[in-house]
Parts: sequence; C-alpha cells; structure tokens
Amino acid sequence: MIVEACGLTKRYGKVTAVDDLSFTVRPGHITGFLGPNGSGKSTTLRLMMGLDHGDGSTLFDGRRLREHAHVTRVVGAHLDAKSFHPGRPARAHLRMLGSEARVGRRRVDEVIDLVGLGDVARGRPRGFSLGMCQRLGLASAILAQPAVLIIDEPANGLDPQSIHWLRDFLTTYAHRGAAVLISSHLLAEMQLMADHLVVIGQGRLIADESMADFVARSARNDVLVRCSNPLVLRSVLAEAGLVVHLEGVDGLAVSGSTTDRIGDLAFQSGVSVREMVSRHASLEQAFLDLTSGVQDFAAGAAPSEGTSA
Amino acid sequence: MTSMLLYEWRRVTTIRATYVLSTLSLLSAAGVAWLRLQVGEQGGVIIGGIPIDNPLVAGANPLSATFAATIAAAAFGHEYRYRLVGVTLGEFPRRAVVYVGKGLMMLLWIAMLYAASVALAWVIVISAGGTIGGPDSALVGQLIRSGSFLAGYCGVAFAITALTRSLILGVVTPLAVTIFEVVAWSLLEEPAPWLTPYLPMAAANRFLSGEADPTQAPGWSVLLGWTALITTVSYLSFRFRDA
Repeated sequence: MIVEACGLTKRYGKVTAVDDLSFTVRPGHITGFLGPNGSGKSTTLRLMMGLDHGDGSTLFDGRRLREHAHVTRVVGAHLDAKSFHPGRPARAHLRMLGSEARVGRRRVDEVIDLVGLGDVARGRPRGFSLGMCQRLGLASAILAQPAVLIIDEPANGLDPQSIHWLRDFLTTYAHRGAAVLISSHLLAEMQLMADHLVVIGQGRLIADESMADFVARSARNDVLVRCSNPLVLRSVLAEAGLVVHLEGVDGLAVSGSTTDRIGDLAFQSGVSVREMVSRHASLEQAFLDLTSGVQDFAAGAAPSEGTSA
Repeated sequence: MTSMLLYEWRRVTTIRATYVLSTLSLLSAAGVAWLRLQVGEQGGVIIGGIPIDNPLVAGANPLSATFAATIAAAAFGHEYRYRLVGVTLGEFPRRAVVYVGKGLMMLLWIAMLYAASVALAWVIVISAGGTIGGPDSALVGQLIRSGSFLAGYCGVAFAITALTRSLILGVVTPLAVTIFEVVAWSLLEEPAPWLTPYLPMAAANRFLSGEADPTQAPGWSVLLGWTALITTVSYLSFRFRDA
C-alpha cells in the first residue's frame, strides 16, 4: 500500500509548523523520517493520522484513511509510548484496540508473546518501564497486521538487545510488503534500518531520497591518503582535477575519486603511499551537514576544557 | 458503530474505577432509599432541592448521580488524561462515530446502574417490611423522570469533559452550577423573575416533582435545551479541534 502525503500544512497562528509537505512512503521499504527538534515531525505524523486539522491530505492507496472499511488493517500507528490507561491490564488494552478489526484472543496473545510482554500481560501497566511501554505501543500498532506502520521514536527507552530486536522486526515487517514510516533521533539506528529518507527542517522538505543518495551528498565522503611526500602528491592529484586538502602531517583528504585511481596517480608520481582509507560519511554527519541551517533550537558550542559547565 | 460500541464496552468494563464508582453509586442509592423508608411517613425529605420521598428513585440522588457522572466523564476524561485519544481516533477517524458511540455506551451503563439502583431499593423496601403496590402511573412517571434526570446530568458531565478535556471539570462543573444557581436565584428573583424558571436546576426541580405550571416553560424542555446546547458545543469542539 502506497502512502502519499500531499501538501500537508499546519499553522498555529502566524507560525507555520508544517509547510506544504509532500512525500511518498512505499511498500516494502522502511522510510526514515528525520528532522531537528521542532521541525514538525510529530505534527506531520499527527496530520497524516487525522489527529490534527490542517491543509493537504494523506492518501492510503489513493483514499483517505476514514474512507477505508477497516482502518486498523490499513495503518497501525504508535505515536506516544504512554498512551494507555495505567489501570487496564495490557492484554485487556490490546483486546480493546482489537475491536475495530475484530481481532481475536489468539492474535492478541500472539502479539503479546511477539513483543515479549507475556509475563506481564495480565498485570496493570502502571509500573511499566519506558521500554515495556514501547513494546505495548508497538503491539498495539501491529495488532491487526496493517499494511502501513507509522511509528514515532520507537527505540526510545529500549536496551541494545531490544533495539536489535526492533530493527529485525521492522525490517522483516517491511520486507513482507508493508510500508513503514519511522521517525527517530537515533541516527545510527536509522542508518541500519531505513532504506529511504524523508528529511524536514522548519516544516519544509529538505530531502526525499534513498539512504545511499542522502549520505553520498555529504562532503565527508573522501579518501584519506598518508604518503611520503604529501605536497608532491597534492599537486599531482590537483592536476588530475581532484579536490585535495592537507590533513595532519603527512595526510591528504581527497574528494571525488576512488582509491584505485588515487593509488595509480601516486604510483606514477613516485610517492610511496603508507595508508589509504576510503571514508564514508555517516547518516549523522550527512544529517548535520544538511540541517545545520534549519535548526529551530540550536544549542551553543560544547564547553571547552577549563570552562565551567 | 458496532465496532465503536464494542470498543467502548471493553473500555468501560476493563478498568476497576468503573466498578468502584458503580458500587459507590449503588451503595449511596441504597443508603438514601433506606433513609427515605425511615422518614418517608414523616412527610418526605428534601436533599439538594429535589423531593425524594420515594425510595425507589434513590438512584437519582445527588451523591449517586455524582458517582455515576464520574463514570460518564471518564469516557472522555481518560482519553485525554492518559493520551488515549490519539489511539482511539487512529482506530475510528470519524469523530462523530466516536462521540456518539461513547455517548450511547455511557447512557447504556447509566441505564443499567439506574435499573440496578431501583431493584436494590425494591429489595430494601421489601426487606424492611414495606409494601409496593402494583404498577401505577404516578410511580412509573416518577421512575422515568428520575432516570431521565440522571441520564441528562451524566450527559452534561460527559459533554463538559469532552469540551474541557478535564475529568475533574466534567464532574465538578454541574455541582458548581447547582451551587451557583442558588446564588443566581436570590440575585435574579426580584429584578428578573422571568429568568429564574430557565435556570437548569430550577427546571430540574419542576421536572422531577412532575408539577406543571402553565405560567412557566415545562421543566423537561428547559433541561433538554441546556443539555442540547452543552452537548452541541461539546461535539463541535471535539469534531473540529486538534486531538
């Protein structure tokens, strides 16, 4: 099922939180939804689910959500980790949420076991840890086996094992044909999980492309060469049309070429190469590069040594 | 709508508070019924301005009504307090269905509670050696009026909670209006006597007593008007505001 967000716009008085945002979430893929704090990610997800009123529309296979017969079989959303009554047992909570799609007890128990809440399912979730709340939220979202998952910050509060489990689970879910949209601040995790990215800043679309293309846009994709004579090699590489910067005592950072070509040029110039490493930007670096100008709530520089915090 | 009603039934029946409040409402109704039985032959008792000389309609006494109204207010109160409203609207995007479904389930639960309170009062009357005659139109009328009043009172608590998104305001506001009305009545009685019959609790008194005064608007119509006004504003607010 294809999800098309078309011209989503949300204004609070004179402030435009989401500004004419359009993107597509495709089946079989995990789409990461990124943006700095206050960029409008949660508002966008709420607009998509019809929780907030605004302009634009979100179509699920060409139809608005409320036009589908069984909404929970279309989309499962987990937007808030603590959206449950603390006095209602987890199992009863899921039974309640299964009403729309008439989900049976067997499926409820299956989902409880799947998210690892079997031991506490009959207990009240009052004392649940954040990680357990996330598991219950995820169980709610997948209960009716929807074709689309929309999840906000699912890894918050999860331990490393649980994050690993979550990654495997969502990847498998997407590969079975579901469209998965995940908003998260854990960029390293997102890099492992998502294959497509939608990035927003100040409510506007900054990027809507594959993970590989997005990361490749960063200036940090280069080759580090440590050699016997960096000045000679720099001029040779520059003559070949490559962008070269000195790095350290004997190093060069070379952009726009491969290790093979740089190695050939170094060999031809008679400069001995001591180390050559292809460096790839991380999602975090690419994200920081692209959103540095669109941050609403930027912190000051980190305190240097000797300054009090 | 059937799915929404099932959702609401499961919501109502899976939290302890529903049973605690229902029990408290029934116990208060039983207590008031017993009290009425004790003093009934001495000419009846007036509590909260409402004549309560019939033990069988004790379920509509102010204390029982407040406990029942808390259950009604929880229909929306818990949605906002525990941030469940996003989950509910994620399942049922048509807000009219959510509002009507919650309202219907609230009325069903209040009706069951009222029926239980009448049955309990009946048992108390019989246990105390009292007798209740066969069906008579006056008794049936009183049962219907008291039940309708209880439903309307709970409906107002329900609507105010949806409007204010606060369970506490939903429960307290109808009580506060009752107190405010006593003051308003004394202030308005001389300068604007034509206005006082339209105050909600004054209308409730007329409605519950079953007395018809041709010079004043019928109590039921004034009560219905207030309830409809509050419910309409509440629904429009729920329909058009962000969740």
